[in-house]
Amino acid sequence: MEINRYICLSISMLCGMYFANGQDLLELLDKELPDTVQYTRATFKANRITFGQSVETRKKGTLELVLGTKYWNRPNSDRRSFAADLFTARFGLEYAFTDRFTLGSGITSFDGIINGFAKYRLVRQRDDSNKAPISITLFQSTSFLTRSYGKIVLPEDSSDRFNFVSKIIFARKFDRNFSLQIAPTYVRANSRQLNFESNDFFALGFGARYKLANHVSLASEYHYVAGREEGLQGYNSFGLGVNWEVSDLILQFSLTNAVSFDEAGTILFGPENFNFKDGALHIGVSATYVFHLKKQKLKIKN
Amino acid sequence: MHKIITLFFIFAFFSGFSQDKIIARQGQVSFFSYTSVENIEAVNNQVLSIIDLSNGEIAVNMLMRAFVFKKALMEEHFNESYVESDIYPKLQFEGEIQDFDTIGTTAQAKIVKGAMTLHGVTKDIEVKTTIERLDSNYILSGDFEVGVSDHDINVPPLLRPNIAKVIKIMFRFEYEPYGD
Repeated sequence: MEINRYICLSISMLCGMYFANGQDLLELLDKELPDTVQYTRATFKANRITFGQSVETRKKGTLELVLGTKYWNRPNSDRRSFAADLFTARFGLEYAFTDRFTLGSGITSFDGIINGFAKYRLVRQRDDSNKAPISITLFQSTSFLTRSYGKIVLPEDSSDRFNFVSKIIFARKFDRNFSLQIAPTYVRANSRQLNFESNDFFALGFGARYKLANHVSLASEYHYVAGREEGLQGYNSFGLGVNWEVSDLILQFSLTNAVSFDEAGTILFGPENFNFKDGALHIGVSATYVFHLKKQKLKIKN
Repeated sequence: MHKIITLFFIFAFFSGFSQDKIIARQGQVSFFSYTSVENIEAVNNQVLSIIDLSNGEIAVNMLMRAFVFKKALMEEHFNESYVESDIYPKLQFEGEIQDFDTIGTTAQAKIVKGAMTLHGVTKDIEVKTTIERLDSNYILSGDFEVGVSDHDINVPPLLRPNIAKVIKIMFRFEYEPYGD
């Protein structure tokens, strides 16, 4: 009995070993694949979706040079301009000090707003586990009015010229094509423009990206401002755009009712509703050039 | 009787565990694209490879997203727009080392024949490799070329001057006995 049991055991062991030997080599390697953290890439393609901030921060040592332009016509104008009556441009620089932390600033021609912002990526969505199903970024910007434009009047006192915007941006890349972000926003405008009854506003920003092809995506965003009457007190901003990537250059084409490039300006000081009439429709063309000031060193053995 | 069983066990032990497989866990694969516009290079230091010494069969498996580039944006474009590593996460190779000599200690040049799957397209390839042996450790190294269009990797017309039509791939695998 004892012996039989030994024989049975050894035969089954042998069988097991031969079975293990016959295993596919690739299957053996699949078991050895390293468990590294995989952060979701490219929820959005740049620091901006169309005019507003996205959840993205760039990799350490990346400098983004942003040239944004917008073209639009005067309402009820008899002038027949060649392309557009009015034009504004923003020149901005955005630098990633770490993978999570970005500082940026810029100046705009038409509204003369100077702004600066800081962005911190708190949580990064992960592909390899469910521990981080969303990305979260904290955003703070400060802007300074330097002149009157449209219905916006430059305050006498320089401390009244400041505006502050704080955002918590929640975003999720649902699949390879579709990303969505929601950003609860607090806006503090030191000056009371457009008959505002308050200096403090709460807003909710929505942004989405849909990838049309490997280098082209559709982007859209909307900001809803609570506690004001849409109309004389400004309109909520909407933007619809196409992002096109060519190597180190990102071109963004958009249709929007926002005149400004600054956060406070776009969220709060929108003078017109989104429609295709003269004066309301702004055609935006932005070019973002990405410089890598710190390059990774590759260690190649042979 | 007991002696026979013990012998049998010893035999079974050796036939099963005298491991005839060797594995490289930190193999290196790098690639180069040379054009007059720009040079692109990337390296992957987490490539897995295994060889069955009994028959010379070899397999290679790697995650495409483990490639590191000099520029972070290139890495993003490589994964998102070219090899589409979210859909095709791995490069796999399965083949056989022709006339593999496991005994000799001098460096030998051999041909590896097999099928490589990249970006969902499987192609038969032949790669010349140098095999060096140090006791039970082996080193395989070499290089070969891959056509970008052979694997349905789409390069937009505007960027064609930036990316070479044929990419040079270099590899170096250091193997140790499998099962430790």
